[in-house]
Amino acid sequence: MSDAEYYDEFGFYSPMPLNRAARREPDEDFPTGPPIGTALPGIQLPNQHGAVVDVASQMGSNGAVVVFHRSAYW
Amino acid sequence: MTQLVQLQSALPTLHGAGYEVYAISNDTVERLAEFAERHSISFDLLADEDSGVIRAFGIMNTLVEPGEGKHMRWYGIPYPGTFITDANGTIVDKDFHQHHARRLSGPALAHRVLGTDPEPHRDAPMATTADAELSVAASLTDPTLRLEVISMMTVEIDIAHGRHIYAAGAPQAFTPVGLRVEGTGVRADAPIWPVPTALSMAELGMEVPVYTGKVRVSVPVTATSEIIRLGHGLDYDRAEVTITCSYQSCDEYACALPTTVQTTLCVPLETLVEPPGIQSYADRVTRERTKALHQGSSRGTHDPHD
Repeated sequence: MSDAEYYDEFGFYSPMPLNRAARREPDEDFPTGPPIGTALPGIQLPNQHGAVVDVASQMGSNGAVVVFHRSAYW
Repeated sequence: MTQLVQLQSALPTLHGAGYEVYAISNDTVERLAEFAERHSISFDLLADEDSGVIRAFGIMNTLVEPGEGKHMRWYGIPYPGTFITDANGTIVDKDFHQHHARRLSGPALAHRVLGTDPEPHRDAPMATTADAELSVAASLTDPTLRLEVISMMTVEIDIAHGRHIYAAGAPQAFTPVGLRVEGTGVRADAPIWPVPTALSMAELGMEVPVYTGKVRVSVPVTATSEIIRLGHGLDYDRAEVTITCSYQSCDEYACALPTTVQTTLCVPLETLVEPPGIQSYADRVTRERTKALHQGSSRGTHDPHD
């Protein structure tokens, strides 16, 4: 007996059945957003304190690192 | 979770180099506030509750159907990835991976952002080997390996004075240097080599790519589910990573035969900062598996009470 049904095609194990949304992986050519060399689209969103942040107007002296993630809780 | 906590650790380096850091998800402000408080996150966690920005970037995960897993906010999540911009907001680099669990470790991301060669972490293990022609020292940008978190292995090859080794692209007669990095439950991507120098070989009438002195090679490595399963703690406490360097070295008079040196790096493993609930899921899977095993063995022995 094995728990093989919890391993995906990449050999990744998670205790979630493979038919759950959490386990679906995109094709290799999934979208990765605007290409290198183009402008970062505008981002105006509230932060964890509820204050609206305009990323373009709060760049560092060399730039910014913008991370899109599943969830803080994942 | 792990990623945001590691970003927080990398924050002094990134701020020091003049980079602001933002993390975006479709979490609510309340959830982000709670998370930031619990894990002492000081950079901006931005709440894209209706996924408007995620959609505008064209990176919404369309494999998730509307209404699916509503309480966990599955619909509207992005394909996870990182953009790096210059001060004018022009994207200069980005890092996306097909599998959602894969991402650069904090230190590996910091090196990528700063464009610097990965440096060994001061608490990372080191393995060395040497022969008469060169020495090899391998270490990591992180003190531990974690499930699908990509760390950079640094391999420094120190070639004896007056000798050179051949790089990829050398004529067939010469054996170019190669690195093999492997281990149970360890995935290594292709090594990243520095640009070789061109050695003029008058008798061949050509320039041959070679390395001399110290050569720093980086190899992306990560632990896989073969040795760490999400939610199950640690089944093993370390991974053994074998580094094999094959090469041929010459001085200006003669060439030695192709040869190899090998060393093994023992790296402690560490669990991820895991989402709440994942351990109880894992416990349930284990219970069901144990039950199934038990039923299987009963059938096998023809239990008369069955």
